Amino acid sequence: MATNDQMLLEQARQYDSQALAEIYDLYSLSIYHYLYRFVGEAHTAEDLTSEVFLKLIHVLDTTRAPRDQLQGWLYRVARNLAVDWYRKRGRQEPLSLREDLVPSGESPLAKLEKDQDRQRLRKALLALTPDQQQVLLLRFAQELKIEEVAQILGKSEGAVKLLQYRATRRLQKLLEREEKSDVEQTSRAVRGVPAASGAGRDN
Amino acid sequence: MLSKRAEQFEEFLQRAEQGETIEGPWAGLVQTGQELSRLAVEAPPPPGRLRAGRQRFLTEAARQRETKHARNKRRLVPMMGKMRWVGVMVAALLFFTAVSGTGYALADNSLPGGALYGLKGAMEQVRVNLTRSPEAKAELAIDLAEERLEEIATMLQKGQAVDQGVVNQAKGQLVAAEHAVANAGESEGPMRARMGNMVLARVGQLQDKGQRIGAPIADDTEAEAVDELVQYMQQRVHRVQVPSVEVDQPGQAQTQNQAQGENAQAAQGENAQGDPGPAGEYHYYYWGADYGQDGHFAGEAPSYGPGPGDEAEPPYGDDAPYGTQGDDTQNQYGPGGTDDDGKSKPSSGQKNSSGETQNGSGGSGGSGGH
Repeated sequence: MATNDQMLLEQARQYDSQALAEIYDLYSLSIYHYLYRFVGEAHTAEDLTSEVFLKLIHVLDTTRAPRDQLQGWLYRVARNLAVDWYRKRGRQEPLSLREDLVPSGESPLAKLEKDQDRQRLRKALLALTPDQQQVLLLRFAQELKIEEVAQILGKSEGAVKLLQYRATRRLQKLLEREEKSDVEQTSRAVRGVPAASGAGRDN
Repeated sequence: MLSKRAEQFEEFLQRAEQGETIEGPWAGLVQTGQELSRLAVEAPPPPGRLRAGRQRFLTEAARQRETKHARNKRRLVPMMGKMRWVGVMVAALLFFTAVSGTGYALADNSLPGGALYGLKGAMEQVRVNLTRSPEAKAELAIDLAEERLEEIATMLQKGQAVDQGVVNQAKGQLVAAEHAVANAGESEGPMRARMGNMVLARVGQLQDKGQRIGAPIADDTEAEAVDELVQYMQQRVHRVQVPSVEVDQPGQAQTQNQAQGENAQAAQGENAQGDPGPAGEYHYYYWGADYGQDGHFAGEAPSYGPGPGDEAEPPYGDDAPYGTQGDDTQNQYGPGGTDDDGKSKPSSGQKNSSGETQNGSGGSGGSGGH
């Protein structure tokens, strides 16, 4: 794959249409999936995917262009764009009703809870370092193996495992802290305002 | 330690993925990892099937390609203009080298009167102009003098006519070599020896009438010219080998009386008569440039050998005063004069102020060459 990336990049630097089209077809879907799992919105994920590849075009003729690890470079740019998107939109992102299609058999409430959990995870991920974010997203969201993550990130397997361990510990603490905070908020709300039954939390 | 825990965590994760329930201190961490797996939701298909993005991507690529080509073309056009001239010059240089190299190879073997003989002279002049150090000039001068003598020998072998003009050219080249040797500085001694040996060898070659193959010499004038050259060379070989001996200038009358008793002065910086070069600059003779139709040096009557206007000529042939082997005491040109510092130059056989013996390799003017 690395050799293929190098060959494609070599041709892409000449703005060869065929090579560029091949790069897009090869990686665009996985980048979209990655972005969707990070931002939680399909349209946003598609727009950001387009931005990722436009960035590639703009840096091809510069020193910032990827040399060999094209996939890793694409994931890195995708992550950065997603983080920037979060910063612009604010961390308190209301759930969009345009979200995933409701799978058959699943109640809207169940889906909502799942979506809230994901949003909570994504929010917590934003508090990690870029490398930690990447490792967890690729490892768990993209369901890649350690060796695949290592190849994409251009790191050793040992380094990836260490990142994974530290990132998970950090994430665990963040989630525990947030859960405690939510519990306190809920308690205050209960004391102050009568809680409506079945009302969902707005995270 | 930390890496070991990282390894253990990965191991527990894999066991959990396989359905195993993890308990103990690792349970919480493994559970967090499993929560992250919730992000691995199956993504819906892209709403626009990524088509719009693909189109934008390829359109932008085409635009960047055009921009890059236009930029390179702007840079390339002035470069191409320059490159064109560079290419023309390189081609011309290569052509000239090829032509001159080939032409020179052919001209190198040409003889006086031949079609390429002028080219040979031109190429030799180039060599002269490019030679800078006094030692190199002396070497080149000796080589050219030898070349002139070789040409005469070759002409004789082929039965070609050797007229006075050709002989005078050889004489002129010998004088030029003597000048250069005298100006060779520290290399003067070795250069003198080299020139003396060269002249002796060529004297023998020219004297050997057996080498004169081909048509018999029908013209007595030619025979006289060659004999004169031989005698001239015999005269000069001793002078070349002895640094104290005055190096006379072509065109000047050199009589026995004049030479004898005269303080020898090195011809340092003095041009041969008729040389157009700047003062002090050693100059070579061109083909025919310094020789008139009568074979005399330009503007001057010949002063070597018997001829009209000479009051007394040094004897030639077996009676030449240089018949003795390197004995300068009988040098008719008198003892050595003073050098530039006013110190007396030692005669042949004596040591100079540096302790070097100045005797040459033997003047065998009367005994012929090797």
